[in-house]
Amino acid sequence: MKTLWLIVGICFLITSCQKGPKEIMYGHENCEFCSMTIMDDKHAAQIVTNTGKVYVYDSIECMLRSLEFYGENADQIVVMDFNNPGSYLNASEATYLIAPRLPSPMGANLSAFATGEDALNVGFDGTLYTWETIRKHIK
Amino acid sequence: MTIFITSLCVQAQITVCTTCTISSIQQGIDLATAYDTVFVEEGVYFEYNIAIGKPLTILGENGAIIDGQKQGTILKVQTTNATISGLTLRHVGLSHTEEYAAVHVSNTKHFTLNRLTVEDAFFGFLIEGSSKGRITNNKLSGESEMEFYSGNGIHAWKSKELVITENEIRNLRDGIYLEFVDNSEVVNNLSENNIRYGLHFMFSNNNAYSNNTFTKNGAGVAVMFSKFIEMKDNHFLNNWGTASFGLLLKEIYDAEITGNTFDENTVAIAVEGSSRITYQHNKLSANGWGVKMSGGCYSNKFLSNAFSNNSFDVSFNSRLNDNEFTGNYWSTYSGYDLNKDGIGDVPHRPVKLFSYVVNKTPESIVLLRSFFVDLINFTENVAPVFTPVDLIDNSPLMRVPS
Repeated sequence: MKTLWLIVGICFLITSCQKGPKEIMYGHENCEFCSMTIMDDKHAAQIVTNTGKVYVYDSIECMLRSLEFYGENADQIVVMDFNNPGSYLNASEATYLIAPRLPSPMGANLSAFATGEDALNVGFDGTLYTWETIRKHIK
Repeated sequence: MTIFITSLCVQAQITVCTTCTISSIQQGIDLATAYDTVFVEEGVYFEYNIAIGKPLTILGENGAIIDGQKQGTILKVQTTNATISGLTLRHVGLSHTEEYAAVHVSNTKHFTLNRLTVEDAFFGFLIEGSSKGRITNNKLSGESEMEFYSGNGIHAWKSKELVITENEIRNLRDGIYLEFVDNSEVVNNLSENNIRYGLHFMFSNNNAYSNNTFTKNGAGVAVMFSKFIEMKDNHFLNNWGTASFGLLLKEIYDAEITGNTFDENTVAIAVEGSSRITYQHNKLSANGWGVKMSGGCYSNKFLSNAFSNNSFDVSFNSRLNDNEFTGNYWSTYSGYDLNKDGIGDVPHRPVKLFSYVVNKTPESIVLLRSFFVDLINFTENVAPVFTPVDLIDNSPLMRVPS
């Protein structure tokens, strides 16, 4: 029994020390940049800083706009995969689609996909961007 | 000529009922000519994607129900001068990528949605690129259990001159959501128990909302990135929660906020980067925060408001102040009125030092009622060091203004 508690305790210690994106409580947390309640599990994004602080965003455009403040200290930046709500993509590896018919929470009509092919297959006309180009496009 | 005129004047009526030869609403619409009335008798019609492509009135009898069987959008308005009235619309489709609605109005003018009941909506009314619409006396509700599988009650995008009155909206994402919507009015609506906001403006200018009640929503009303919004005589009640507020103003300019009531909200008015706003005759009672300002807020005026029994009346995150507070009632005011003119003889400082501490370290709120906190608040009040020196009401009222 003692060992069990020890293992549980260690597990807690390890998990609490891990640095990474967190689970967003939809409907209860506000976007760091625009203060809107986060509701959309297809467009959320997060920035994890070097110190492990996690900033959550309701949309990729809000995350991009706040890179100005937190970008330098960012350890990880993740964006939600539009096709797999709940699973994050590394922001620098994702492909971005701006499609006027595919709205996102803050009006940029911007979604992220694992590959360019996924972005085209979703069936909305638009423009594709990489991490480098989208950062220049929205800031 | 006479025949021509009569044919113009006489509007035919087409009756649809479940046992008639015309047993579907789409059939009725297809048979009708422009400006006819399609009368829908009592009964349940299992239809979706009903397209209205010519100016028509679709009138439902009491008990006329269109059931979308969760397949998609129920009614699609693609014409000018369409009126839809008296129907119950239920079981709108749910989708990941498509925004299905009970009524979808796109690229049109002069439409009326009146006395409709929408049950189990994904989106209620979805209005795109349209103008001069009247949305009145409707009841919309959703059954959203999953936050992200909920749509907005009345969702308008790139539209103008809408009149939204006397609607009741419950259990949706945002009760009313307006994005790129100008010159519109939202009056006398009730928006309650919605997951996110009762009413939400984004990038929308020159709008007014008045006499609405927003209660028990995730948060009351959010006005964001908009100019010239008039907010009058609304009620913001019971918006409780860590991330909740009665009214959120984010980067808005030149607004008038008059005669509103804010009761029992975590934050009555949360203001971020908003300037040239006049707050007049509002009543803020029993809120956690009355007005919580952050970011650059300049040239705002607070005149004749009543701040009663809020934990913090005003909180501010900067040492500079360019806002005016004149003639407000503060229940925390401890001054006196020797000449009995109803105006306190010593100025009032509404910002407590402790609110700065709480802004930095929210957990410290547990110390709110402690003697130590009273002490630092008092010291700061006597000799302001951290709070803006000029954030002061020189003529605090002794009584709640009527």
